[in-house]
Amino acid sequence: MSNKSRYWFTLSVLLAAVVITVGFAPVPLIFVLGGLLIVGFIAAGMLYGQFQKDAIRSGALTAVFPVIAAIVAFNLALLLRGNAWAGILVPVLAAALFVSCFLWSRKHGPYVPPTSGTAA
Amino acid sequence: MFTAGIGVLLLAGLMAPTAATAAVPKADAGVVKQIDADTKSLTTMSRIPTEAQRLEGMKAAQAVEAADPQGFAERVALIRASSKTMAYLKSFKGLDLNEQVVILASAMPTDALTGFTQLVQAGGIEFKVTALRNSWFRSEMIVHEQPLIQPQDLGSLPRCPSAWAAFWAWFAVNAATCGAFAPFPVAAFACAAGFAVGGAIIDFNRGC
Repeated sequence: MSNKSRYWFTLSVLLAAVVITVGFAPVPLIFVLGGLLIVGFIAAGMLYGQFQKDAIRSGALTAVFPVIAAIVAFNLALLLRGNAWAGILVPVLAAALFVSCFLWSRKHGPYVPPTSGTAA
Repeated sequence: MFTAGIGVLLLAGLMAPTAATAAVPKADAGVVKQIDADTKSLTTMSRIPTEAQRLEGMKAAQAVEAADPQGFAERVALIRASSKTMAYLKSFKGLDLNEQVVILASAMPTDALTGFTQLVQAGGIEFKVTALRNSWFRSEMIVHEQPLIQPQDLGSLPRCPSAWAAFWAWFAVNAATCGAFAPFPVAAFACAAGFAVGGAIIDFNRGC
């Protein structure tokens, strides 16, 4: 598995984990888990050396589809909190987000190889 | 449990016009009728209070207000904000509406009154008041149990137009803010996760 695939696999897992957390975690546990997941996203970016100003400014890392998909999925999970169907729909939503983002990334996922000074 | 609580609450004084000023019915004064599986009604009789009873009721209300002016004002605002509760109080012809509001506010704690006004407003409880001869009223309280159960199954799902409006406003802000980070997906995902986690404490149905 290439670094790009590992990077997007990690992000896809984290996205699915956010859906599960938002859909099921009670308050205040949701804040703890949510905080850890936010740190996880930042850590993934650093670990795979994607914090590159030039690449970000040039738009080389732009990924509109997974960002929109994540926002929609997170809000759907928010609406499903406490719902009688949440036990079924939230895992399905998480799986759908994971699969769609990971499959999309195999062809379109932006990834800039780390330069000297960035990790991985 | 909630329905039982409401029943006790209402038996404790709500069925009476102006709770204290009109002759307060005793707990065993009502006639309970099962209309269908999910609907019950309780009918009580009450009469327009005498001047002495009215003054006594107002005096008691003033004592409650003096003990907790802020809570009292909050309860008065709750009653006035509920159009259906106000309609119920107005249905006792010949009684002063402001006195009705004041005495109802003094008769219940804030939490109970909040639940009561929400139930009345949502249609969970209906009142039918009929004026009889010799200053008597017949009040029928109809309790629909079904609406109390359904919302729990819906969870956070918006249940009225204003709740949907609140949700879409939240979604628009979320999308506009986090979408701006699309050139750097990691930051956009972190932003969206932060919004989603923060959204867990928002009750979109509060305005219903």
